[in-house]
Amino acid sequence: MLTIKNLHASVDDTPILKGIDLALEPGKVHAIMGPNGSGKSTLAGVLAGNPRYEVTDGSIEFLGHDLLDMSTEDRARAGLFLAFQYPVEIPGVNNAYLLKAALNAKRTYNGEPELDAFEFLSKIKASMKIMEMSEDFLKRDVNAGFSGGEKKRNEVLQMQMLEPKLAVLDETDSGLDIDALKVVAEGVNRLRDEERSFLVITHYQRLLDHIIPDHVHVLAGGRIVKSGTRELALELEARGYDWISSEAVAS
Amino acid sequence: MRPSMEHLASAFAQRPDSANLPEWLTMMQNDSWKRARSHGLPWRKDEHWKYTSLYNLAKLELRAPETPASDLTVRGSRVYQNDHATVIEWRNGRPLTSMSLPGGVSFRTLGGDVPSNSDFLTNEPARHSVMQDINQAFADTVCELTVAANTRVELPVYLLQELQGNNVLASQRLHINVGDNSELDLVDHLVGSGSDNVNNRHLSIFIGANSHVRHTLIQQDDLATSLINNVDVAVSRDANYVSQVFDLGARLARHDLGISLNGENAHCSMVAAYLPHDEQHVDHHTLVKHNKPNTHSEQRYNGVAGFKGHGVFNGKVLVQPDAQKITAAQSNQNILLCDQAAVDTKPELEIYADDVKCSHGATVGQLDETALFYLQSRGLGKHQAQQLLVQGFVRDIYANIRCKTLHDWLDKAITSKLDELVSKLQ
Repeated sequence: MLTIKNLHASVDDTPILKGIDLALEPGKVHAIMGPNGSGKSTLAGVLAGNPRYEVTDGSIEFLGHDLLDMSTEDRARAGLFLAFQYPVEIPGVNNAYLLKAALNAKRTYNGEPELDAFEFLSKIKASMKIMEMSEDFLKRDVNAGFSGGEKKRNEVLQMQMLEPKLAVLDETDSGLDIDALKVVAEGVNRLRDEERSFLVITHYQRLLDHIIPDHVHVLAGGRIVKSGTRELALELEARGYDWISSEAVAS
Repeated sequence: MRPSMEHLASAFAQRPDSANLPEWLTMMQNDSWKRARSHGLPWRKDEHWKYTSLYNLAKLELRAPETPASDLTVRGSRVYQNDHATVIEWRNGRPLTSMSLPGGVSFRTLGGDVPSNSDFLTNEPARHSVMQDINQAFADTVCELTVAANTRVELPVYLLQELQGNNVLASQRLHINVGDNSELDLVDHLVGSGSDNVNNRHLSIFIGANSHVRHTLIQQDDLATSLINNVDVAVSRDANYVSQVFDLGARLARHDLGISLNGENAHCSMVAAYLPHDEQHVDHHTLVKHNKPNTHSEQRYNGVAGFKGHGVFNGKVLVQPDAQKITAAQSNQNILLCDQAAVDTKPELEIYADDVKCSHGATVGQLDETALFYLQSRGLGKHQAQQLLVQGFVRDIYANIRCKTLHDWLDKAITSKLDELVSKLQ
């Protein structure tokens, strides 16, 4: 699905990622945890093609494509989805319009016919029900005036509509109360199947009580310093990040 | 050096039918021409013409238009068909056919020995401009549209003006008089074609107490046409004037919008969207005079400048000494789509009262990179994402238009215009 090799990336000439190696198999959920400033969001941004980040070394292969060679929009059309840590407000562009344009861009790329209005509406209404969003949402401008929880639910709603092959969730849980977190997690869990992979980036173990990961990796100082199973997340919750960092330095 | 008036002078000397005009009109033309001549054409040393040059306009060998034929041949699409609006057609500054008007509405061309009820010809505008004098020197058909008191005009009055031919100086002069307790929807559509034509128009509008006028101007002249649009509005107590201007064309478009709020609780709201590109130059000069207490004004001007487009905004709010408790809000926001786009913006407040609420703000910037990335990360191509963002920015200006026909027409015209702007970016 996704193979990252020796990935180095910088922001404004400051190196952030210093050699990431990671492989995701189809149908698996990998969690990336780590302290603030460890490079978690940079990794998410590099995967989606954010022009802020410059890749200085390494390679990423996604479903047989050279991901770094693809434009942001082509990555999305090929099945990569990034749920933003801070979803962007876009005044003057309504949700229904964006979703329809996004969905049809993807379908056209994959040689499928565009959805008609009826198919689109029934699809989105089903997703809105899961995400507990009200009907007026469709006419509202993208994220404009949304609460933090609404923005995150909107990200997961978009993910459900676009049905990606790989979903990257960048701190989707941050700032959510437990009820909103459950709705978001439910939205993610419904999409889990044997094909679809997830890269769940989080600062807190709490999310992983609701989205059970297959693997947990710890990112610190721009490298993956420890990998393990779900128990690793629990241990991090109990002991914090410091012991990992010192263990990494010691080795 | 000021631009030369030589070509205008020969156009003035050779204007057709000048012998058959009523005496008062000839006198008015001559007086206006004298004033214009002694002042000269505006240029960059005149405070309000710093960014807009008339040198190219002065080089044109202009002439006053011949008497028009009877039918319009408007290219492109009309906003309204005849049964959805009261249509008044114009060509080259003169009204065309007789039209049927709804009750309470009348239209006349001023003639005869001495025109009756024509104070508007001598009223002082909110801001005088030489271009108004030049309009009055050349205007040979002075028209008045009157809405009687207590009249709600149901259908919009659609002023459709075409410019045709070449080197024509059109000089539309129209006064609109709206009586007390009345309501008028005015849709003003300029479609200029031909080559090297200039539309130097002057609209004066009087709005009686407690009346509402919505004035939408769609400027869709082609790239060989220049527009000088003088609009002067006097708003009485409890009355409301709404101005909505959409610049979709013209090589040069200069708007001088002057509004006098002359009675308590008078209100004006002005919005505009301008989208210059490819050597187009759009200049909005506004002046709102708060002459009485408890008057209110709002301005929202949004510009998108594409490749080699130039936008200008100069908005002034003047608050007279006794005009307490007024509110005035002014905003001018601009997006530059590329390095070869430019906007000059200057909001001005001149306040002589001490208990007022005034705000103003101006921004000039590029498209939001984060928003662009967000849309692309959802699978939208770069151009589509750019277009969507720009469209959202412009839609803010017309989203609240209640008339669905007008809203949808604008939406379509603006979308295709923005498509053109964005597709020219590399």
